Amino acid sequence: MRLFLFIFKRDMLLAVRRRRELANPLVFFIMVVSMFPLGVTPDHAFLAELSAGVIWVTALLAALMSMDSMFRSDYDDGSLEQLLLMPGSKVVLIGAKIAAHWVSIGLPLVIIAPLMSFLLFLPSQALPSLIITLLISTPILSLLGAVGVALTLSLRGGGVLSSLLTLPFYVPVLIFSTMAINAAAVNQPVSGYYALLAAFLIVSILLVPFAVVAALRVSYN
Amino acid sequence: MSKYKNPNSLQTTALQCERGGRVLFDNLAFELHAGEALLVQGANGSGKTSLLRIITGLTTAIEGDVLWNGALITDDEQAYQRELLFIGHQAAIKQELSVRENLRLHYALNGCEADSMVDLAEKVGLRQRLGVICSRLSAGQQRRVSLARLFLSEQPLWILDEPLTALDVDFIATIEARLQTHLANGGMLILTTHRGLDLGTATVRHLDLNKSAKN
Repeated sequence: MRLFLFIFKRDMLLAVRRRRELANPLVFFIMVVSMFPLGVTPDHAFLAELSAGVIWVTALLAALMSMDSMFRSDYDDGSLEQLLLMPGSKVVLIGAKIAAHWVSIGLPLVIIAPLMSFLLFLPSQALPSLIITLLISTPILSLLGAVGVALTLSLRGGGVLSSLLTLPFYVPVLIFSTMAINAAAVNQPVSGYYALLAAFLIVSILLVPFAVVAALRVSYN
Repeated sequence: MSKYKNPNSLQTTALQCERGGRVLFDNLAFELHAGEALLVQGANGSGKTSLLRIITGLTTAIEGDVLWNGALITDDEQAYQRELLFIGHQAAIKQELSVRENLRLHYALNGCEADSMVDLAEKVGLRQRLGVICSRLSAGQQRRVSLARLFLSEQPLWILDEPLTALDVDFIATIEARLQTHLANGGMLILTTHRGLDLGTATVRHLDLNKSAKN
């Protein structure tokens, strides 16, 4: 637990110092969503139909953009090897890094998304499900992204490769999240979708840190 | 004399390392005991850094084992990591953080409280620079921040990769003195360097990777 807090605090401090770089995905998210009504059509009904998909796809791409920051700078300046040589559980270490990444990228997305949903006329009864799906799923995005980044760390231009590796795993999250929001918009039951997403989250939390530790070993060999 | 509980020893058996399809060294074995230093020499690209990383356990050798006090280092990884201090050729300091914050990370990496930070900064000659963001420091000053860990270290085994890069003459003398104290206390030292280093009366073993290279 002490190790978790130490790494978490360290990464949050770095995130605060690097806030301009971290703002990039958020600015991207805001720009794309706000350009949509301008570029497509200002028609309320049409936008309302698209809104869940647009917000989710953009949030997903914004999260994907930010994945590289999780390990890249620590790998490049040698501090990642120092962290890995610290006595202590590597799984806890990785868990703390992923948690810090989610708090600095995923959580702001969850907070901004409801505001952006007004631009796209998301039906008001679907708003809670937008927030809930983002809240459950953005941690999944951070977790799965970590595996891709850790695997491609030692490659030049690994960013593109890690996106290609990660994207297929994001697809089920995208499908179930948008289905939940669309179901909520027409007052259909949504708890089944939440349960599936939550199951996905739990499995990721349990397995991903181990996978990342193994992936980092591969990258260092 | 020795400040460490038991006389430690490090041993490798027939290490082989390959990079990019080329065998860098093969059948490399050495032994190191308390109070001894191992100076790894070799041309650029002869595998010095690879060897050091194998000894730390970050990389695994294709063949051969690293033994700490007779046991494989992978058997009890955490116990070995408690005994080990590794400073790589990258400074491993965070450019966005101030000197003070980086030193605080050193303390945490060493698992001790940051109570004597001003003293530590004094030792590496950065007392007036504690509040400065590291990206504003010169290469040599950044190196000093990184090497501050030597003055905190309680670990018996030090592995240093090119520790003297970018340092001025005065600070090299400080580092030499620190290394000599460490060895006199029964510590062990493995390092690579391209320049001469005065390690005093300690036993210095030499390992020349050019000779053990296999073509």
